[in-house]
Amino acid sequence: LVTVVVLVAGVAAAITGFALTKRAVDDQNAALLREDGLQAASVIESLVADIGGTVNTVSALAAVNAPKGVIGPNTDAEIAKLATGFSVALVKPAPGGYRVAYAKGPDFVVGQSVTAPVLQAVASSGPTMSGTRVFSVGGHPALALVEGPATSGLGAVVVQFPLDPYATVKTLASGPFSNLVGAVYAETGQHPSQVVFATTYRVPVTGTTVTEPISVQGVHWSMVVRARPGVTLTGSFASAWPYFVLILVLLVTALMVITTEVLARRHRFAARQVASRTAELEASLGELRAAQEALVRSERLSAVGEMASVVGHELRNPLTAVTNSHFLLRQSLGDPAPDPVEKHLAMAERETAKAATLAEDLTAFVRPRSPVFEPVRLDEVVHEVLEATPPPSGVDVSVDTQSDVIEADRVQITEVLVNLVTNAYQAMPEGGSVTVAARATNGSASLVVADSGPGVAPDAAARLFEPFFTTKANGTGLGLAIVRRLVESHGGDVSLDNGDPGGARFTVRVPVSQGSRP
Amino acid sequence: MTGETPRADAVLVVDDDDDIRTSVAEILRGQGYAVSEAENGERALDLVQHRRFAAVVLDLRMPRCDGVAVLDALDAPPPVVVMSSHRLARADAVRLQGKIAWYLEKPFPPRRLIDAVAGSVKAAGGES
Repeated sequence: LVTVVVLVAGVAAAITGFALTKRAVDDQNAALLREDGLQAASVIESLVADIGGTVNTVSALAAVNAPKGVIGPNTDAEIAKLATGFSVALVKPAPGGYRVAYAKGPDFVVGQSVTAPVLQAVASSGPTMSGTRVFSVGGHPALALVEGPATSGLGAVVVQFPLDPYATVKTLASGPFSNLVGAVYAETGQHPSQVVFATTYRVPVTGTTVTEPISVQGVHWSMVVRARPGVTLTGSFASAWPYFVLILVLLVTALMVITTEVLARRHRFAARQVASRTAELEASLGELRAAQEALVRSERLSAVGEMASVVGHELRNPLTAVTNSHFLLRQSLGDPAPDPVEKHLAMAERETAKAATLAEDLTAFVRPRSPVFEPVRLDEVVHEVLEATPPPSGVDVSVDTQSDVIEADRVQITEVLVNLVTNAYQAMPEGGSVTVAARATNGSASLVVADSGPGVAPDAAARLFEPFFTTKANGTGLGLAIVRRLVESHGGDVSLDNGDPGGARFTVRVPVSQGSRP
Repeated sequence: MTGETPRADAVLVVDDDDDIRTSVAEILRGQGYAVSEAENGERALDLVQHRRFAAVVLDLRMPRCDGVAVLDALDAPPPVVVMSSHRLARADAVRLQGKIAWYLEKPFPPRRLIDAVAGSVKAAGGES
């Protein structure tokens, strides 16, 4: 974004700089053009004035010699100063117009009437020189200068000469005004027919032009000039300035854009690096935390296990003595013992049995045994388990097994199923149904125990296989931990999901063959 | 004591825990056995070498000369019912396999003890 802003600002600055410089140079050009135009106009005026001088002289001589009826030799000499092709006439009023009273040169014949447009110039002539518009003589342009007035009795002097307006196009290509091209018109407009002379074939002159009046006595012409195409009056260096400014600012802009972009990219790269390093750091921090938690958990488990082992063993001796005492009591008092002794004795025996189970669980959890694998028929194991742990009243058991044979530790797989089935019974104190399914497919055996009890709450489900975690009032929290340990020692896993429509469903998966264990 | 016919109902109970030893002895006496008691392995060895027993009920963990040592010391012991709160180490189990008739893990229902002793005595060809 910054790069784009810099780019836009730079280009805008370049264009503005170019425009401002261009305008200054253009202004300078226009000023120079005006100046050069003025100078050119004054030069042309002096040239015309020279001609005017001759016309005045001729006119004056004519006036002096008029009484003699001739213009005289002096006049001829004066006329001879004029360029070849010039014709001079003394014109006097005559009935119905003006007649040539004296003529010198090819264009006039004494006694002839003057025709338009010289006629208008003669008729309106005054004591100062005036000029005609450009007119055609035998298909060639010509111009006449007149000084009068014709009615003064002396008559009017007419100097007529042919024009070659474009003769100077090439000759003026070098010289004082070679930077200019333009045209002088015998009027204030720019009609091509009125070109007196021009330094270009392209008339009317267009573009950036300057128009200057050329006024000599009563002659009112105009000059239109412009700079010669390809030439700048301020010089090539000055005219190059706007482009120089444009390129310079564009270059600076490009440099700034590149610098900005490089910095931006570096910044982005650094930001990405930081982000990726941060992510790595966070990941390893997470791993570290997880590892630490695992370590703490395993150390806690190990400490708890050690304690459990000691407690389990230490409980066994007193429990043995208590059990023996109950037996001896019963022998002494009879079986059943007389009330209320029987009630208390039975309770003592029940509770001792529970304590004995706890001691066994503790020992079994702490003292895992490596499985001894042998072929085991799934349906046989299931039936053995259900025989050993018959369902309490109110609980229906349905079995879905096949005679598939897997490689397993019979005792341990039995213990797994006993634990799961016992759990299922205990989950339904009000009765319900239990489904036990076992089958082997595609190298994997699944043992499923599902009950119709309340199921397991999600937060409890997450911890259900942890040792000493229990949702039961009298549970040791070791049953499912033992299940998981035994299943894992078979290279399998155990999972829990809430069944359909409800209840808990435990699924044990173990490899059919231990040789196929990964 | 060689040549003396072993009394079918002579049983030795070995355990360092007084309560267990005396209660086991009493249970067995209730079954008609003549029960002797030993509170450690040394005493048990002494008794076994001087008298013939139809069966020995032997605890494994005892201070001074434990059950394993007793079994190791006897070449041809009478039938032995081991009762223990600890499982035998695998190596011990393999070595002593032929010398142990029954193995009872504490705590056990007294009925199983009675069955085990009776079974051992019978298997050993005792009269009872």
